[in-house]
Amino acid sequence: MNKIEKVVRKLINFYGKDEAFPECSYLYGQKSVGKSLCIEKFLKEAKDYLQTVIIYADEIYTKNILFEIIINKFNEHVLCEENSYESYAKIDCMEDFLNELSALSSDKSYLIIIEKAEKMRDMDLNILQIFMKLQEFTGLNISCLFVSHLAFEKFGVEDMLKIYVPDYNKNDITEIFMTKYEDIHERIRVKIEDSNINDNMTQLEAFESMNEEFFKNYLNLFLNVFYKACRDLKELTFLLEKCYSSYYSPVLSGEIKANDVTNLWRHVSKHLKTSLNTIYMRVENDATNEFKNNENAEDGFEIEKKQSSIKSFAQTLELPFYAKYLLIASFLASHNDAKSDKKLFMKNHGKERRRRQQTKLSDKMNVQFGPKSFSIDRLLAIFYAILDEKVGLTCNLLSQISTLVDLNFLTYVSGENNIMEGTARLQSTIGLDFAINIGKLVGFNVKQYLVDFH
Amino acid sequence: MDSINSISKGTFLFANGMDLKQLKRQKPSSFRNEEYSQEWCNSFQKVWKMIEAKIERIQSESYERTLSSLLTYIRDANTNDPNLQTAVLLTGVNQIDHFKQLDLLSQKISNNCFSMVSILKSRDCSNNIKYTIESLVGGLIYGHVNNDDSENIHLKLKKKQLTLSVLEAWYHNRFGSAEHKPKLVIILADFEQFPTNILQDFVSILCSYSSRLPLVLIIGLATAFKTLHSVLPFHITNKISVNIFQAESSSSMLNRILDEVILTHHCPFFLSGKSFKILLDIFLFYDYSLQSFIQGFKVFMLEQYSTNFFTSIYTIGSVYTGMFEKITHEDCEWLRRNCLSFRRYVEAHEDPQTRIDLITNDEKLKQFIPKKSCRALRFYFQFFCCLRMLAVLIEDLPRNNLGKQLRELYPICAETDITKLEEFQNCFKLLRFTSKDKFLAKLDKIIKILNEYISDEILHENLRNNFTCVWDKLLNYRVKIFEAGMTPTKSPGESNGSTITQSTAKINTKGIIGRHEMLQKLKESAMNQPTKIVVEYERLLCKCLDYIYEVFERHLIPLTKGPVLTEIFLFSDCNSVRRHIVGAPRSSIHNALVNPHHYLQCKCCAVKENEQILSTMPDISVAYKLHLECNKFINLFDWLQSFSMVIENNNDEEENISPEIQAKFTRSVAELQFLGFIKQAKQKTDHVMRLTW
Repeated sequence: MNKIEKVVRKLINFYGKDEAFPECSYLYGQKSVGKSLCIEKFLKEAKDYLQTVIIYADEIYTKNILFEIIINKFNEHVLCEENSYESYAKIDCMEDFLNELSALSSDKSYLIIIEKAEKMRDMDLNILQIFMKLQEFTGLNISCLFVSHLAFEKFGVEDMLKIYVPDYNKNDITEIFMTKYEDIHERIRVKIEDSNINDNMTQLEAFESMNEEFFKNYLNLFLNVFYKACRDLKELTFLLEKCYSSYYSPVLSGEIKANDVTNLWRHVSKHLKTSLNTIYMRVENDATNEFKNNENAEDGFEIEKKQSSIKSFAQTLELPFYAKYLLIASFLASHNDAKSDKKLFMKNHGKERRRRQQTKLSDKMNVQFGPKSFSIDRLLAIFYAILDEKVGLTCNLLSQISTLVDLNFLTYVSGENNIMEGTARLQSTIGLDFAINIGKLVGFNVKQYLVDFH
Repeated sequence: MDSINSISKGTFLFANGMDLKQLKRQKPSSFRNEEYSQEWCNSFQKVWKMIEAKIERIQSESYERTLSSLLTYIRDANTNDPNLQTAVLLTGVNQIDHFKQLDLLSQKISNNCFSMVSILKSRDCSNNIKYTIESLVGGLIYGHVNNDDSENIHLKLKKKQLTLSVLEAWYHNRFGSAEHKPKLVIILADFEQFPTNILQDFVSILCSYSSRLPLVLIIGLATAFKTLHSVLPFHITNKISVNIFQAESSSSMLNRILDEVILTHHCPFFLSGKSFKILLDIFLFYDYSLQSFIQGFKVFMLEQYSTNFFTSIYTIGSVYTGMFEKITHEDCEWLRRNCLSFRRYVEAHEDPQTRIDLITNDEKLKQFIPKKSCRALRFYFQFFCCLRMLAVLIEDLPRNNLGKQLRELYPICAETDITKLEEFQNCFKLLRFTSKDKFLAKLDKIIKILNEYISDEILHENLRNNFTCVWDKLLNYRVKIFEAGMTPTKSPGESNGSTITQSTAKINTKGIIGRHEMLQKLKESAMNQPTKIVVEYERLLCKCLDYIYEVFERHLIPLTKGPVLTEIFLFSDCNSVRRHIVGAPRSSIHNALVNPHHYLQCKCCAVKENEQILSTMPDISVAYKLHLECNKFINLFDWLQSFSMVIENNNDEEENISPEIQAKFTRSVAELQFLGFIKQAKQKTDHVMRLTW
């Protein structure tokens, strides 16, 4: 914890009592390493002499909100029914804001803390720049503390004071988790007491045997399994609590003694492994964020397991029959050249020249490229070609296309507004595996109709 | 065409003379006079209300299960947790049903949990985070006011003021001192349709407020849980804690509605196999939407009630006796003409006097109807009872081509004589090999079904006796079969084994030359096996099955071949209604252009063949017909020339085309382009491209 203390000291050094503040400063460090905790502790110490406001930059979807929150806070204006929730002043532009700021009493010191400061870059150009030089504009003892997880260079602004919050190592994490011991155990106690009355006493007895040592053992096991895969404290906290119940449950039921570490390990390892699997998936598919996070419900866990593979995703997906065919048709249209349609979908397509096929072999697979766009006409033509039955072109069928668009299986590439004219172009967003699995559900071999596998 | 005198008028009314006449001829009893239409309307509404109530009950029961778990989750949600409490509700892919479900959910939440609810739909949020937040805050603040005290009604916030910080202030102002603080529930109805960037911003804003306000987020997901993670990046998902709730799939819900409402004898309205198939196909193949299924059913019902007077005589469970007197001559005629079973009945009747009476004398017919229609209703009763029994019997048979579910069996049974089908025979053959436990379980189920039917109040006395007889017999069999295993005879498995060894021993004694011969012999020996050692259980099983088969043979008759007057309760005119529930825009536009007479009903445009082009037809129709003859690219000049030839009715190519014709032509081309049939060709000048095929 002394790391946090160090950062807090630094902050106090910067923003001490009766001192001229720096124009602005930058607090950075990885996600969930305790930046907000530092600020919280610092504010506790500095609350006597400092007027502060904390802004979460991702809440600021219009600049008025930013200005009004700050002005309200500094003028100690609280929204309530008496003022019918009007803010202190109507502020529409930067100039108004600066005027209001200048009107503040110059006896006090002001600090604006902006969390998630990386979002400031997306706002109007002048905002970040002016917030960096508020002293100049207002003549107050005012400063701005930007908090972000990005390296400072990403902001592309002039240099400022920087404070770095270092990562936690394993010992830090253990230490932090140990502070949670009391909390967690208190919660368990309440839970037991609330549960049925019959075996309350035996359970409570067993609970008493779960001392700090017991928790520490669990922490060790837990971190051994997860620390390699994940260092995000929030994530670990969540997993910790989730897995703990399966660690202590045999103790409560009296199956395993609290000091029997080996048996406890044997019992919990399976559960830890399944949890690790879901975490491991994220590491694998980091870019697509497929990690199944934060599962509370027991049945939710089941569902998650079921849905983890693409195959079962395809199976659980509830789509009408023709929609499935349309989905496949869209995939085929996106991953085949329009030139090869004749060859693929018509029975009498004539002879093909040999030479062209040989040159094709060296080419890259079509499915490995991104999807190509296609027109609705082509989609329907392929749909009719792969469907054995004869179906009328009805409203219901056409509305399936827009349903698929709504479900994000298809997207409009261009001409979204002139569907009537036939120039709208669509694109399929599903992958080969998914298409194959959908094909299996309706008894259709997708590969047979892909140029690459011909 | 002469009736159109102004082109500035957008819409033209053509009195559709011919169709009206046709209507009158076909459906004499429809819309005859106001009083009458009232009658069928009343009757229809009575029946429909009952059906609707039942369906709604089933739906809300089914939602209840997911809802109750969701509600307890919301009630218990620990909003002090730094993570944003999130419930993901996996609903089906269908959006119409989806919205209805979520509206119901929001009602239930605000009624049962102490909380305020705001539903956000993507179409209300117009791709802008500002509007999204505004509608969210507005929904929470004002939605609450509506059903609560009037204290806050005078609170009028400007639209600009609807921000989360105002919400926070308002909330603490209002509930800060209260002991029970309400939860703020936010429902994202159609998660997939929100733009990704808005969702990310929105959820992360909610996350940062979740420590200050008791927020609970409910996400309606149509596809799968995976979508959530593909939309929200990790740094947002690690601030929410997710619970998943799965709603019942719409197909299983449909099964239930079919089982309990539509495929039952309760209401005097039955679908023929074909019309049922239409509805089911729309559901399975097109949209998976219960809502549209139910609406389709309603349309069928409406059609039936409006065209067929006799259906309205019966409401659920009771006869509308006053209606018999209101039967008119037209109705009788309709019955004589359209009711096949009636015709069959009359033709088969021995007494010539009754025959003549039935055909010519309305009074006699009216006396005839009540009795026979009751019997027809009874037929349906038996039919559905047997159908259900059959479904139980064959639900778990391997290689069952008939189908496992009621919805698959019904069209087959309604259209064909199922007992004559090969698949059916096969099923019964297979049934002879069921193990005792399984068969007993099946028998129990069947007895239970029978019991339900027998205890039905509206049952006619004769019928009850009839079915009680069946029930008694089956119960008898059940007891016997149950005991059969107790007796120390050989179990069926053993006996089979012994016979096989015997026969193989026999075969071995004879000399075998080839494999083919061996096969032959095996077959032979199988054919004329010496009297198989029949186990008590097997004997009883066969007997029992034979009996059930008999029952089926008697009652599972195709609906069209049922007793006299079955048709009056049966809706089979599906083709005419099909057009109403399945729209086919392209084909109807094509129809209108190729044969304008069909819609205009003018004297001048009637054509015998669709290929014919008349100069009297509307210009666009002429242009369309000419363009059908062309290939992909159409030369505008050629087209114009043939157009003028048709309109002016002369073949003189040399003559200049008058500006009037040119104007007409240009307008038709523009209209065709507007309708999406052609577009300007980029490759060739003076050409247009056909877009349809």
